[in-house]
Amino acid sequence: MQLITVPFELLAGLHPKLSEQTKKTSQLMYSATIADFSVDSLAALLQLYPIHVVKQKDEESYWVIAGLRQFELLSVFHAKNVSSKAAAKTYPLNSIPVVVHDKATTKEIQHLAAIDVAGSAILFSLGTKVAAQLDLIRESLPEVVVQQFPKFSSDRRLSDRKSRKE
Amino acid sequence: MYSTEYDEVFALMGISEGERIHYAEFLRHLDTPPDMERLDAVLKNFIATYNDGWLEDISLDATVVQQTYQWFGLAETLRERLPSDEKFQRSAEERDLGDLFHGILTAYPFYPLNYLLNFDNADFFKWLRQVLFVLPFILKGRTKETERFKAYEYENIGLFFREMTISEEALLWLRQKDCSTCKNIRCFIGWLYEYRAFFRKHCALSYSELQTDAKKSSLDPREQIIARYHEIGRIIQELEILIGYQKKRRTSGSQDKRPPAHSRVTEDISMHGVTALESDLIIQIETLPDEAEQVLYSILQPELDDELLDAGEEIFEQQQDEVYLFADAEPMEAYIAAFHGRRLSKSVMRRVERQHQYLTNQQTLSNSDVYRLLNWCRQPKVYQEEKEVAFITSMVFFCGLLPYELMLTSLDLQDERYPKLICGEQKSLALRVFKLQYADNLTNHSDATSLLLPVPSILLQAFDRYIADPDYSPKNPNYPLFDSKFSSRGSALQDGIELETRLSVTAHQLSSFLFLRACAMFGTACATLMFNRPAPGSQARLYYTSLEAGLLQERYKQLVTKVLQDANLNDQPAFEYDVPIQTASIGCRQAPKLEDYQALLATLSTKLQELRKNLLNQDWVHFHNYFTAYCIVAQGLLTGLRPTHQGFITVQQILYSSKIAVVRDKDSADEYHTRTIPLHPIAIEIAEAYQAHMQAILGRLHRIGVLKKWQGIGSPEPFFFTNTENVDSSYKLSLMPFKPRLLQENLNGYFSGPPNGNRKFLRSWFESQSVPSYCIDALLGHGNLGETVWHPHNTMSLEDVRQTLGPYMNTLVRLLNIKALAGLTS
Repeated sequence: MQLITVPFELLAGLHPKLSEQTKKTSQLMYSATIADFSVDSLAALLQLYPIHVVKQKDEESYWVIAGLRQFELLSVFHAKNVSSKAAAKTYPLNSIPVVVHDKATTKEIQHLAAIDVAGSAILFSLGTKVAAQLDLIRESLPEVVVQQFPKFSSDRRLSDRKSRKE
Repeated sequence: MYSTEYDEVFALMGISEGERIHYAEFLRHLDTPPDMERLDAVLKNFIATYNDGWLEDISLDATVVQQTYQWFGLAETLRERLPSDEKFQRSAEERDLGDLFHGILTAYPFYPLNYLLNFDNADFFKWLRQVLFVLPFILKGRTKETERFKAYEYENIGLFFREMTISEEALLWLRQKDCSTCKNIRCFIGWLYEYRAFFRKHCALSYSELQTDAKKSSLDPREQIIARYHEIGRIIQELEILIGYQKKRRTSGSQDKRPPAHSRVTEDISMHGVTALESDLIIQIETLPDEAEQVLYSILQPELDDELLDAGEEIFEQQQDEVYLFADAEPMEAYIAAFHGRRLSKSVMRRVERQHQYLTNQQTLSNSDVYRLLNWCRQPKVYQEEKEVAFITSMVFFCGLLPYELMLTSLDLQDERYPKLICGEQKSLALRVFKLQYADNLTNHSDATSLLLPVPSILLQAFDRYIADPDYSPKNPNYPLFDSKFSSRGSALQDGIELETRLSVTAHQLSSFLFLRACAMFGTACATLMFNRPAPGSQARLYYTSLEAGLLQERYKQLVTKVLQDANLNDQPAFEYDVPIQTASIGCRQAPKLEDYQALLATLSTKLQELRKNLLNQDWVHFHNYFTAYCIVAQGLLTGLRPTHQGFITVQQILYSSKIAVVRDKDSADEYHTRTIPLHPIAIEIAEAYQAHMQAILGRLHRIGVLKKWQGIGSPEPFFFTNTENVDSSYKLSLMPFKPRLLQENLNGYFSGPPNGNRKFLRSWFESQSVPSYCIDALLGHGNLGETVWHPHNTMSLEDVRQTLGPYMNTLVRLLNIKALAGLTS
């Protein structure tokens, strides 16, 4: 394994052997969309939890094999900002750190991706009273950090679930 | 036993006999030669071609989508099983397609195109491969020679595009052309037109040079260039077969297909209407109100593309590029000849415009004229001729008809002639209902045949006196005015009135009085429907208005009462009898009713609520489609947006500071169609809800592997999923940007109106609430010359429009229960 920085264009997409699995879990409802992250916060998260890739045969580009949720947000970010190409050049999300695995078998790749989806969902998710807990985070952490996540800055977003239940 | 031409290689790959037929079908579609040389590279191209966006010619057709997904799977297995021999791989040294595929270019012309890699403009060739891929599907089932390809045309196409990868001009053009998105085949052909223009400019080909005959085999380099220019044109013609054009083929024997001579236009056109002459020509008769005998004929060449037709747009609402006016009815040939020769002169145009603007000045009678005239009509008289003039005068005045049109005034309700004056138990004045003429022959408009109006007291008095006269002995008792000399053309009535009242009033002035007052009081559309007379000005108003007959009856009463009051004739009630209330609607076709939209919005919200419970299975795909449909319909009812282009106002198009949207829902060069729409707060909320939904849905598109396809078709917002019938966890879906047809398909079963029903409904509903026409025009983007919001001399601001419409909009929001529903949140 090796940590390198690559331009976003070199990520060719999800590894073809993973498409079936991601399709099957496509209806999962995570609590955040791309709108809940600022560019800087997403870039910082990608440093903390890099995307994992393997190199393509005979090509320069890479297939993504883990860090699926990060890769999803990154792809949506680029899809939404494709029109402002010139501005996108300066974005910190243009070159990103990735962990390159060498010579992983199909089985290993599928295993790694499954661990990612199953594990990360319970590793980070908040239990009950989500809105109240997010509120707690907002109040106890430095404002500079919290401001980087639009989700925390509006009461409406925090209490989304509550109001919908009513 | 089924054998295929590929059996030899199939055996090498270990493909079982049962499977071979599917693989063979796929390989034939790619135009593969039996030895499958270089197949790996072709398959790789095929997979890459379909990873990104698809042409809508593919996406829209469920069978093609299914087939593509199936072949996609086959392509991947074939690549895995293909022997690793060098002959199946891309050749590292040889780049020249002619040498590489020597010997198979004639029999398999498309195969090299599926193989080639072009680094100058890979996108162009990607879309080309999609065009070639969908070609057999489109041509399937076509039998006419003019609608199919000939064998040599396949070769032409193969050769032409192969040459594009080496020709100097083509490479120059390809390098500077951005081909990242392509909507459909039509768009692809558009690129070839651009290439042809580029070629001509680059080679500086003059007009006279292009007239000469040139052969590609010629030794003269200039002639070669000319021949190549013509070749581009030929390829365009050939590819245009795919989008429904017919290519002319030489046939034996000449057939005379001209229309029969001397077919006079007047026979084909009923008054005030349009008629289709040939497929793309329309003749319209325009009557000028103050000189009704002088009729102008205009000839129009409308262009309504498929999208507008699907949306339900009317021809009159479209901008006409060419308008030709004539003063006389001529034989058909004359129009055609003139159509090619003469442009509409500015002065005629100005005359018509002036007519529209200052029409009323010389036509109006003063209030005292009306008083003298009508007062005389109701007074008792001695002579029968006096009584006849009084009766006809009041008929002309109250029916808004010219004297000669009254000749067949009938007294029998069952009679087919109009007008009818019914004087039994139920007294009423029946006028023929206004029928809009449509260029196509759909006839489901106005469901009433006549409009029953209450009879004004003055008319009733004049009539009673006339038939009570001892000398009254008509030849036909059912048609009391049939042989009256005053009901003929000419000035008999004018002379009669002058003799009796010393007033010089023409029949036109008399018949136009109530009509013009109705235009002023209720707007031109309502006046037209009331009196069965087309008003000058914007036709669009009329083609979008449908009113209940009951409302017209009520307004007729208001109109006559007001006119009599103004003329100081209020010593007796204007009406003594009421008419039964008619409930039928009169006016444009396919105008949805309030109840239709109430039901539609209610059904859609229930549907969304149900689906929301099942979002943990594939139903989120259906949820997206219904949610998109709901947002488009609900917002459309507040904005009156045409269901063309995007069909929806997105957050990016809203100017928040002034709560206005700037959108374009038509294609033409003037400012008529860049619309500035004042927005209701709910319309903005709907746009915001859709934006939040899109942010969530993009993540899902990524997970099912179609995010790149979405980008490939131009990142459309809103978009629909197609091929959703049997969606399972493999998500064999396709994406399409908004199209009126798709909206209609998604509303199928819940709503029967046209996609632009919102505009017909809004216009009709506002008219029925007596909202001033110019405000409705401003909302809907209709225009009367000189009255439009965007006219330089206009003094009305959008804020005025918003404030006038505001209360009505609020009522509408309440009646229809329009809400901004939440879509997917993640």
